[in-house]
Amino acid sequence: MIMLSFRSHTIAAADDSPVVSPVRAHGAAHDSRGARRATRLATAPLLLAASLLLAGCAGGAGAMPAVTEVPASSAELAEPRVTLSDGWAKAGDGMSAVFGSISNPYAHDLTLVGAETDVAGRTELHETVMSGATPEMREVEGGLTIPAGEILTLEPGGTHIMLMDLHDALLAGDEVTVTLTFDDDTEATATVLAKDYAGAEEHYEDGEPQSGAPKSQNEELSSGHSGDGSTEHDSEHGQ
Amino acid sequence: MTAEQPPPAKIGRRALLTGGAVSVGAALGLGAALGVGGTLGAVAIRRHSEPDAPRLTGIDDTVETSAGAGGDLPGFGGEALSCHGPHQAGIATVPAAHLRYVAYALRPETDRAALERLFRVLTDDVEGLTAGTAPLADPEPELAARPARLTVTIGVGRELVERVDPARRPPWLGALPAFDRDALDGRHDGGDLLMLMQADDPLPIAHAARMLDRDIRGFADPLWTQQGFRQARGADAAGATMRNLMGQVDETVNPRPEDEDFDGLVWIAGGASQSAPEADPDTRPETEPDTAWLAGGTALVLRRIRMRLETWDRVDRPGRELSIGRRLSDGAPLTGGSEHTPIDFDAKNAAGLPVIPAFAHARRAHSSDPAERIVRRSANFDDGTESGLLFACFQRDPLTQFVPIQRRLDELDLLNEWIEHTGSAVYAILPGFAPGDALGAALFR
Repeated sequence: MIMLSFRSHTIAAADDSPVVSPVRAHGAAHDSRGARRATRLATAPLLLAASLLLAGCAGGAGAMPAVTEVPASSAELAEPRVTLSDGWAKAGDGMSAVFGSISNPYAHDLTLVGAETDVAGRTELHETVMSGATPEMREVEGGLTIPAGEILTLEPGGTHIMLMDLHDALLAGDEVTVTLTFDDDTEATATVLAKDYAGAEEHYEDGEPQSGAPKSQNEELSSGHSGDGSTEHDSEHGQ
Repeated sequence: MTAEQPPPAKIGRRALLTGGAVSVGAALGLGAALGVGGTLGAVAIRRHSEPDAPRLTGIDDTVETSAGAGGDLPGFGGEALSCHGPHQAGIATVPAAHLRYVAYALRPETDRAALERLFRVLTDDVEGLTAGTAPLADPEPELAARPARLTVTIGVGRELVERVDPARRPPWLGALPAFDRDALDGRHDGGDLLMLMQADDPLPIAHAARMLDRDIRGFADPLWTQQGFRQARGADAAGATMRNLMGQVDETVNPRPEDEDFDGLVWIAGGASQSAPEADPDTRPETEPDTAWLAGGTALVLRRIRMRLETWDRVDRPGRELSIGRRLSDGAPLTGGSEHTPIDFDAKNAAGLPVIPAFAHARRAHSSDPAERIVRRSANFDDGTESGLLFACFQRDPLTQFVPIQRRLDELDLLNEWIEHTGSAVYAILPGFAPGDALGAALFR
């Protein structure tokens, strides 16, 4: 098992090959998620290259034949990878959540069974269910299955990765590294940006056991930013 | 593998992760099968992280198609301008129909570390807004999908630079020297952080301003905002010189991106100081600021110029033309020719008097020093009770470019009868950035 961590801008750097513009390449997609999915899959060759590099380092770079050129055909030959695209975390204190789109490029279903991050004491996979007119969130049992070739969207008001017992307040602009674990024991690591976000204030389902979570965690995720952002300020953000 | 083939092109924005889902053995095996090795990754990533190949500034506004939903639908809303390159977009790109400036004042606790975080967030915002894909956590991505050539240009004020490192503040970054005729009313002056949004549709500007505001509020408070316009897209021939609200053709003499000397007038060069090239860091005077972080950036002077149109109404056309030195109909010099004919400042009329009067705006603004020029990019404003010009100019150094010009106009310019400068701000416009880089990254290095 190897775990690769990519800072967001490192990967984003791969975004602008002079060959074709990203916008042009996906201009035909009417659904932006569809467009992003396509671009995600396109990350495979680079990510593969990076994994080869790291694998080479781990196993002794001397054993690897040196090349100085990227074969154009490698894109077609490259093995696809699970990707988290458009990932972000909500800035906050105590609790937070991670959102984004996880793609399963494989021919088999993949189930996300857990997530880990250094910034939080605990993480849970949550889904949001309607209780009457009120959205409430609860822990997902048995993980989140991503059918073959599909994308799992984690978004406010829906499924997300809950971060609990944050060691420090998560500030806008912080980078959070999250390791996802899948049911086939593979892991994938991503670094996402923390952003101020007024939404994502789901409430817990009444009576849901929080495995000893203190009562305060049943409160809003919000770190105090008002919806209109007019006068409220979160003093942590200046730290 | 049955997964669909990746498109032949590009790597997705923010597609971050991954793959630990491959064993070392598999990676090695595949590497061997491909006949590629450990250096491949480095090569590939370096290739993709290189900034865009240098482009002529005149054509760096290559229009792309928005990657947002419906970005390819008919209408110019789906047109997008790349935010990446050696310079920020919105300076040498073709002027847009609408613009908005929003200035912020940093909150006291926003320190260097906070600013670094802020620029990480802003970088994603600018990329998502201009490409049409919407920034991360944008609650209204549909409003981002049709950018209509939106550009977001970011500038920093004196206070922001000093919070990062006072030694990096260029001498010109701060309030301009006072001019006698200044009528600054304090409502549109200065600021620490500037967003300049331009687009051919006001909707994406409103959305961009709102999105950026959400992300800036944790770090800074709004100080002022100014909205301006040129003509609606398509209303006039492409490249036509704008008219201001006094009816004058405005910005006829203006360096153009395709001009040979444009870059030298506008873009700040690398190095510690332009006045002391090749200066050794050890021998450099202590007082000399380190402005290498601004290489590829520029200096913006923004002046809010109120027009007293009620008194301008009393002036008949001959007087209006003499005040500026140009014809109202087409902007041609009163000395003849067409709009772009050089003015003959020595021409005399039958009475032996200069055709272009000594007090004419065109004469007073003109400099015989080719280095003393600025690139103007103004817009009209009309908020219902007040109208005028949001005079904007870009240059390397306002103290040697804008200031001497304004000194002359301040001393004598018949136009002063009908205009007054009520707002003034100077910003360092950050250099451009490449995909994968953060805006303003050099400031923190």
